[in-house]
Amino acid sequence: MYAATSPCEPPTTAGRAAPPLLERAEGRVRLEFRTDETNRTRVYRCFQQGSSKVRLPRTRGPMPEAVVLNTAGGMTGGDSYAIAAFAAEGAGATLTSQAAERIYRSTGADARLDVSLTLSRGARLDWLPQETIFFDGGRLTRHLDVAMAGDSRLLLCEAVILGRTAHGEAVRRGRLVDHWRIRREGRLVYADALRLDGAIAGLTRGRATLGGNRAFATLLAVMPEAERRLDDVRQVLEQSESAAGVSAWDGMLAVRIVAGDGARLRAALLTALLALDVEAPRIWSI
Amino acid sequence: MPAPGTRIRTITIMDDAALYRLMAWLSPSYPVGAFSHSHGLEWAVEADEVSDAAALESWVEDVLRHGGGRQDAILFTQAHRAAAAGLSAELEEIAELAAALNPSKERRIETLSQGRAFLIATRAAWPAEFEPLGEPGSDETAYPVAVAVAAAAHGLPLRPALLAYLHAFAANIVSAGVRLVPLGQTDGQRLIAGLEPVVAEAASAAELATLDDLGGCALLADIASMRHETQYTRLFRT
Repeated sequence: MYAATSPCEPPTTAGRAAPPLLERAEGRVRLEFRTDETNRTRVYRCFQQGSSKVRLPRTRGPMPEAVVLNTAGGMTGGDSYAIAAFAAEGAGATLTSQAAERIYRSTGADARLDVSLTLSRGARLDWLPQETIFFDGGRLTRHLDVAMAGDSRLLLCEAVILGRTAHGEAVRRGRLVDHWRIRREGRLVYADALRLDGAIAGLTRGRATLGGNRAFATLLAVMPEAERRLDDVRQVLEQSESAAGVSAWDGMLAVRIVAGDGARLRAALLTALLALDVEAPRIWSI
Repeated sequence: MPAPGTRIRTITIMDDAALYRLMAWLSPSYPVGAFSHSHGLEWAVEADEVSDAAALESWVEDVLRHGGGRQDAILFTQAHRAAAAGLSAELEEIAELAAALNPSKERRIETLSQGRAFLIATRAAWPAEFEPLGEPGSDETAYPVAVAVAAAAHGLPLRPALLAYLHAFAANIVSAGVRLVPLGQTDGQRLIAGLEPVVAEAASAAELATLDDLGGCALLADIASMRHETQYTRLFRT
């Protein structure tokens, strides 16, 4: 259950000068989904290493749900995680996380998370992790790379909360970099680059940045029917109490939400997902 | 050695032709349709997020520091360097990324329509000895990449070209704001004067950046461009 950096390890004996260098956490997950002879998607391969584990709870829905959990209980500088999922022809699955990922203060390097998704013809992958909670002084570089077939269907969502808003915690400084690259039939169709670097408290106050809000999310659907869903999603977001917008072009639909706190952010996300006929992973409500 | 406290100014040597071309290409009368784009500001005014000169200035400043302006500055710098060095594979990669890096349909229209119009006008009126991007029309070229590549093809140095581009970018949003809020012409010019150090800073930051440094957090500007799509009465295309 505990990683090498577990606080349960005996403290260093008195008299020693410098604290020992902490061993950094590392986790690797590789998942492969294929359809069986009844056309149901099965987890064909599941590799897990280090601080990353995968749970495959029984689901009622048509697609299996893979729940990734981080046994290190959060991420800090130098930690490195990689998640790769492959959906074979016609297979579909939802990937989520067991809990909100916490990004703790780092004095040096960034924590790294690399997510890579591959979708074959007719496949579907929903990447719906729970929120990332970013603590003061946190540093995270995340890369999300997707290679998808022209008729496959992809849903991505990343939500970030700056500090535990319910505890009144503020994030003053830190670095959060999130780069998305989506290739469809080999062509780069969507790229997004989020960057909060340095004096986060100041730069998020801006009128055109976050307007002093502490929670935000991007939701992206890349699927043949994406543009037909625009009106439905727009209608629910216009009712939202958070700042939210949606746009669709070239077989894609992109949503941005900026909210005062995590609860409002999640409320807006859930309505947008519902308008896309997607039920949030069950683990979200546990 | 200069006396302590003396500021050393970096001056880029630019010949007459370079200044003349940059002024022509980045002038509001160059036929790229810049006047029809507000970069989402029209919705921000409608929603009362921007209702006076101070709010307009901070909006444009955010966009330059943390939004589309910063992004364009980095793409411009990278494209100029790749084109000047004749690195066509790298240039292609930058152009592909620039065309994909759009948060909304209207922001995509804004950059691609101006990029295309710029290439067509510049190739017709100012043919260069070499065309690093190949023939226009077949591919989608984002506006900063189109201007950067033309500048490189004409041997115009990066720094003044980038400043001219960023000035045009900022002045265009300010001009939209002057019409929308509305503000007096002098107020608009005061804002453009006040934004001078912000533009210079964005250019300096871009010169030190790589493609890994792309990114920003002007999410409310992105949302404004999305909401603009269904704005009932509008003067601007984006």
